[in-house]
Amino acid sequence: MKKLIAIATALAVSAGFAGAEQLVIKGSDTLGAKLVPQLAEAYKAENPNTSFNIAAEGSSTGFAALIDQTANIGMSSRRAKSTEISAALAKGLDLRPTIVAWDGIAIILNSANPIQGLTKKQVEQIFTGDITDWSAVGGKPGKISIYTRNTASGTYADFKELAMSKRDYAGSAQKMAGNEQIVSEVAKNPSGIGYVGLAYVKASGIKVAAVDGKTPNQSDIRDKTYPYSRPTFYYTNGAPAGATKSFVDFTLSAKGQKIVEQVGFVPVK
Amino acid sequence: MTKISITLRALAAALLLGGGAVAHAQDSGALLDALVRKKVLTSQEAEDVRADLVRENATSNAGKLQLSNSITSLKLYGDVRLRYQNDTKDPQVAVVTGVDQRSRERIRLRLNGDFTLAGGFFGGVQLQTIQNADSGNQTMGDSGTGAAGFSNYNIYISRAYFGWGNDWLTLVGGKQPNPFYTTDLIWDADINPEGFVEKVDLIKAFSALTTNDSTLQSESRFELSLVAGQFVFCDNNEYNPSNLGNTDAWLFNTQLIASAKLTDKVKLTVAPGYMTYTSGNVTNSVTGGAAGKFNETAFYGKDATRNLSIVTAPGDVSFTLCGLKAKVLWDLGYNTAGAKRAEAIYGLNGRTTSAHSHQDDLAWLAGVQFGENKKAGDWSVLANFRQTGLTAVDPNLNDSDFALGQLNMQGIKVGAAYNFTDFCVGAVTYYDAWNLRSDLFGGQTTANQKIANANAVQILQVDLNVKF
Repeated sequence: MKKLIAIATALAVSAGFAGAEQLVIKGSDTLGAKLVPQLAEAYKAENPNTSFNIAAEGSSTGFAALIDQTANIGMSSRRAKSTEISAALAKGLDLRPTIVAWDGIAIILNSANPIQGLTKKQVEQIFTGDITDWSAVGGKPGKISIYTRNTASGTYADFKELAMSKRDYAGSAQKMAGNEQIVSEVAKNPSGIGYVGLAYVKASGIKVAAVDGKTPNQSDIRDKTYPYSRPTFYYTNGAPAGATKSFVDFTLSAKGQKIVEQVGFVPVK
Repeated sequence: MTKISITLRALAAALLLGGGAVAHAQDSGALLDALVRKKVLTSQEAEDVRADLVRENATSNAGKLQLSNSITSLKLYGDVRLRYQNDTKDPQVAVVTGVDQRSRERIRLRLNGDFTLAGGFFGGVQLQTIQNADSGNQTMGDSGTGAAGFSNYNIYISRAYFGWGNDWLTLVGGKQPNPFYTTDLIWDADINPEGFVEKVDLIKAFSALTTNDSTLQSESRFELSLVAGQFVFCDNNEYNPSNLGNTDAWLFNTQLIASAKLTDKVKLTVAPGYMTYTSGNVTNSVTGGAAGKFNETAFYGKDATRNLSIVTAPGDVSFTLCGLKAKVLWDLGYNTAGAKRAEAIYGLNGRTTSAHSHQDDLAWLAGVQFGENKKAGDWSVLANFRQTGLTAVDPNLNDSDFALGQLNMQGIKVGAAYNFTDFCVGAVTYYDAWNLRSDLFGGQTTANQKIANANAVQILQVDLNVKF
């Protein structure tokens, strides 16, 4: 049954529904929870014959869907792994990235936490478990509760590379399905610490910790002086074409990039 | 193809060539980032180059080996040796279990992985054929070990260790290469003892502790190191009241290694040391050489490691002769508890049996060596003479090739080796040994202890060894 659904989806993706285009977009929660749905709504307003099927369950799921040919676009907050490129090549596919927005991974704390900033070294020590008590970084004594994304997340992988010298997360870290769940948990827990994309920092109960004196903002993210800056991507099979190209072009247009900025990301241009 | 596209692909090709076939996009990430910062490329163009690089890598068979992030270097290597061996033994007592004459075709495989980690940590692993501690030789088609009829062979862990070190201190734990300066008079070269080792470069340590700079003495003409090893020879169940020897058998070995450059081409090394065992019951079978053939009290049981307190004194003078490296070497072992061991283990009480002699407690070796085997065309020869008294050394550790590891023997070892290529060495070695004392209890040699039950032993080995 699952196979039949996949085949049907693949047919729909490749041929399009009669008289209507459906774009299947899967992958990153960072992009797919807020930004891409808003872009899709704006796009549909101009292209009423296009419908969208968006699933935001982590960047890895976007690559898997592209390789299975059950999605037109794979949203990703990280670059494709060599294993994913190889898997695509084995099926005759060519994963091509398009940068659609810049993001900064923000370190968030409970708003009651007296700490205002951390060093990069302290961030690494906290998330790897080398430091387990807030008193070690100048805070009130108390066990640190770590909230991270789950392993399907591109942010999970990016943060390991950008902030943790590729070391493993602390065994005590609690893995959340999305940015909003991390925000929710940290807002509830005075000892909590987590990381989220820039678009998710405007929430009550949390605050953003400066890293080496820098908080994520547009100019620091764009010129990469904020340490946890990263591009976010649409991945397609080869150069975008048809409705896929039209939506990618819309995302990169002035109108699309304005939405990017409104949601909280940093525009490409 | 557009001009920018051509430029990008040219850049990608340049990056690939610059990094070799193993180039990954992430390897070139810093360069791409710099090009973006300089506005040579846009972020999207850099991303296209990255994607090209990853795709190129994905379609190549190079650079696919993934290593742990903690590894700073890894060396994989090994060797396969083919050997023809002919043993001829003239036993005193005809009931000896074993062979009086035998020719064998043998194979030995060793696979090594040595790694270094950040922060001064290091380690290594070795796998090899045959469980014997003192030999990795698998006799081809050996019906005695069930290898007849083209059977496959087992592989064993012969090294597994890690350690930490700085300029003057090295600590190692596990089954490891022999850390001592020695010859095969005392230690068979195949044995990898297991336990703990501490090495201190005393000159560098003194320098580091007094000046905080251990590199000051690096050009010294003198070297002085202390090596201490604590090795687990046999682990026993201390809580088993029915076990008479319910303590572990540990070997403690300490050595001071001193060397001095007498001239630019002459170096003297001496390494006095001391080794002794805690008393312990060797309840597990000891494998290897003579020990594997004779499960008797010298190797197996509550007296196996009793009364072995051996003073050792190996050394050499190395120099250059006619453009070749040369060495005069020696070794000496003297068991200070030899008289007790002679009576307890070998039954020499001087009343009802033969008397113990101080000659039994002494082992010594003297020899010369010319040449070395490093690259194609290199050759070397060696010759030495030795005497090994009945109680002088631990028969579990001494060379299993000379006289098949038997004690109360004396004789010569001569050999020659030639490098056919950098990695392929042919060698011929001949051992001729005959008994040291001929008046021991039970005849010319000791009938009760088969380890000393030989009048003469000749061994010929012809080797072809390929390293990789």
